[in-house]
Amino acid sequence: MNAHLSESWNSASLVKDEAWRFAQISRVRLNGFSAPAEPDAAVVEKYIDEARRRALGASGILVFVDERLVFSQLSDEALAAGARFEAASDIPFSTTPRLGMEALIQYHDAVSRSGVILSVPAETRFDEPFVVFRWQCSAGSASFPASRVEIGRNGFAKLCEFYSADAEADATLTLSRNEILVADGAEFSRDFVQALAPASKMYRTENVVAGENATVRGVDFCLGALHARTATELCADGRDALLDWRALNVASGDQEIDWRTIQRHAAPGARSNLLCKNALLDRSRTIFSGSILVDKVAQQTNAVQSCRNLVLSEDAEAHSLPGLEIDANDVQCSHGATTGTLDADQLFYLLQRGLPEADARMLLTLGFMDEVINACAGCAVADFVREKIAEKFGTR
Amino acid sequence: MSETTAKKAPDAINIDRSAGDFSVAEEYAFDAGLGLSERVIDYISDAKNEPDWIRAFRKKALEIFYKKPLPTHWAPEWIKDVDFDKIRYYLAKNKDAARSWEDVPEDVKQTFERLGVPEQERKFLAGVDAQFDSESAYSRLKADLEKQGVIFVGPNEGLTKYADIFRPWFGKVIPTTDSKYSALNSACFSGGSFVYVPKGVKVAQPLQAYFRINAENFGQFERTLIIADEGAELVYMEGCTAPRFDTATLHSGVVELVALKGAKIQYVTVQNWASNIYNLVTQRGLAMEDAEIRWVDCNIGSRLTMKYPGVILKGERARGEVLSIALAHTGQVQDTGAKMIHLADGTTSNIISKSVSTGEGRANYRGLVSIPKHLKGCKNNSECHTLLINEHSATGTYPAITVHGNASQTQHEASVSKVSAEQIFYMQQRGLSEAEAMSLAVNGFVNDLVKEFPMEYSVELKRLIEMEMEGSVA
Repeated sequence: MNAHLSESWNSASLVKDEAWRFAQISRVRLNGFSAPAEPDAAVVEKYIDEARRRALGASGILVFVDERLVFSQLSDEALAAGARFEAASDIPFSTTPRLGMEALIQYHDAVSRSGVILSVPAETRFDEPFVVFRWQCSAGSASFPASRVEIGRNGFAKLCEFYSADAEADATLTLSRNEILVADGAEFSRDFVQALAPASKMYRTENVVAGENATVRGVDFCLGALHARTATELCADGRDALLDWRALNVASGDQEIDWRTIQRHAAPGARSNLLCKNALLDRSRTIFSGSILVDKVAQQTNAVQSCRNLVLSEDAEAHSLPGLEIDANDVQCSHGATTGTLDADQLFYLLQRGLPEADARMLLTLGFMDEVINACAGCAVADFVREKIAEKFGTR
Repeated sequence: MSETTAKKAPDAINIDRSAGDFSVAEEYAFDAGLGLSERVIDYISDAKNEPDWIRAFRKKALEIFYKKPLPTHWAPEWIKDVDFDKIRYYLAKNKDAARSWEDVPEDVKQTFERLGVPEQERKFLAGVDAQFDSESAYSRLKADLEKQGVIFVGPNEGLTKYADIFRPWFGKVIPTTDSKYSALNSACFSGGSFVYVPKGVKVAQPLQAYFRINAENFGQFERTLIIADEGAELVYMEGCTAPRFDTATLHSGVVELVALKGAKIQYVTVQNWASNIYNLVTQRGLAMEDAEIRWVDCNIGSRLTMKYPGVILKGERARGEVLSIALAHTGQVQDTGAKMIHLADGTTSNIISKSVSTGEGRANYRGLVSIPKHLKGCKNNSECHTLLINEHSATGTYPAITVHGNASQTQHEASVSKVSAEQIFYMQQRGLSEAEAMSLAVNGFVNDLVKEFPMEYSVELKRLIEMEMEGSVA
């Protein structure tokens, strides 16, 4: 671990950064974390089993336990077609994360050794997903994962990413940098779920670039960690690209879940659609900050952004910062942000039909969440998310 | 809008401001000179013969002004072009506001004439407090209003004659420390209005004040405090035009509204400054129980406007509203918005903003809605819509909405679009010229807000938009 960098880190430098507005900056710290310990063989075996069970029939599987690659598998078809899906210690990134993550990423890059590369050749199609599992099992450890996805011209692929931990592996730090490059005419979907232990911290950036006529979809679930911040930058770089991104954040306890996004339109005729759904329990906080940026050249852009906050407790707080910055005139751009609680009429209706109040509330809450869960590209992540949400509500 | 129009008229909306684009030679009895210093503050205080507490207030504000940084956070770079050392902070023709129209000097009358503050209009107005540079050159209240106990004077008269009403609220809604510009205003304010409407009095006619800048390099720092006592109601109207000058001119007013229990205040602004003016205004209202404050705001002129009228909803069931129209053409940035701070149960607020960017203009919406902990039944609705006319027109929308707890509701929506070629084509089919069609489309876009302005303003606004659109197709 680069002690010099982590010691010299000072969260105060973020105070005046607009990209950190409303965030509890004092929670961000980089020092005091250890390198992960050697994982127990039995634990590793357990995780590999779980991964194989969840990723049945996948085009490829990579399993990491505390940054160590412990299992890898690539289907015969993927191998024959020349797909690359492997661990790599150095990732050649071609995009630059922004949104206030610059300093954290500088630190990440100095220490990161645990990367994943997915590369799909042009004109190649994989219907089954590539799946990455990252389990944490050393309490108080720090990890610095990275990933780079490159989909060739007219290619087609799906990726599922799991970040999870047992309750014992608590108070960890995860700093993650990711990049998705989708070439002209290609199609790519990515599901991501984070269910880390309750006192952990996770800071993550993702840059997505879509070429001409490319279609890129993403679904993010943020369920765990005390402080989770994601910075997503979507860029429609080619004409008529389509970007569709959805996130569901379920915050409880003292959690702060913070999602900052940019939908950048750098080419004409592209469409982008971004949906953020936050469910807030206990004393949790969520922040959604999104910008639609339309360049002068990006005429005929159609960009939509919406944020829906469902506040389920009187101590939770939801911050919404939707935004538009438009430099082209022939566009249709809109954003919406709402904050409220469960609809009293709907609740009354369910109670009338004999449902206990807790069940009725759960049913309505699941209804709110389904719009995101149902958008998952593969059922592996959707099932996992449903289990985790049930756990989260069940322990209440 | 068709491509041909875009090419023909890169600067589609070109307001003819020549009506207000003139300057009459003035002789000033009081002139504090260039720059700001403690000496200037003393000069102002001496000239106005002010009590000591105001002098101390000004000096404290000056200290804060020196300490505060420029609001570089989202302001354009060229906000730094304002050279505080090259501004005259106090100019006045004479100290006392003229009591009757006959006392108003002829050249001032001439200026009013061209501005469209006609003498005959007085008949319809409850009172005219037409500010000519620093001091009220003319101030008059109709006799029946005076009988009702309505006070409508300048702030200087307010703080000397009516200190018991004035002092408890002065600087309370907008503290001196609010920003660099509110500190600047607190240090060297002169002119503006002080209005007090007693309990239960409903002022039937709108109170009007015309503001005008008429000296090069002269920042105008008017200060307005309006207090509506329990159950009182009033409408206050403020309109601006200014002559064009070459060097940057600063306008930095502070407007404080206080609506006590059950009171209603509506504050209407039409801002049409010349295109070299920096219009950096702080406006905020405090609404107590069951009170209602409504800002109706229209920004057409100036080089840069940064104005975010706000309402602090302090009493239960208080209501705040901001209706805003902004028009930005080439060389202009209209950075306007609204702030709604909910501090009691059952408070509601509504923000509707419509802006039009033409040529290379930029119109931004910047908003803040805050509903803190444990409040129940608070509601906010905010909508902002932007129409982009030309290829190089730009816009930004930056709301921030914070809700604590599960007993309140907010909703926000924003959209950006242009006048579609189909709309224009349809209207041209029916015999309208392209300019008429564009004018109709833009007027239709802002129509629901224009209707909210008092009648005479809404007629003027409609005409103004029509005029601009005529210029859009040569």
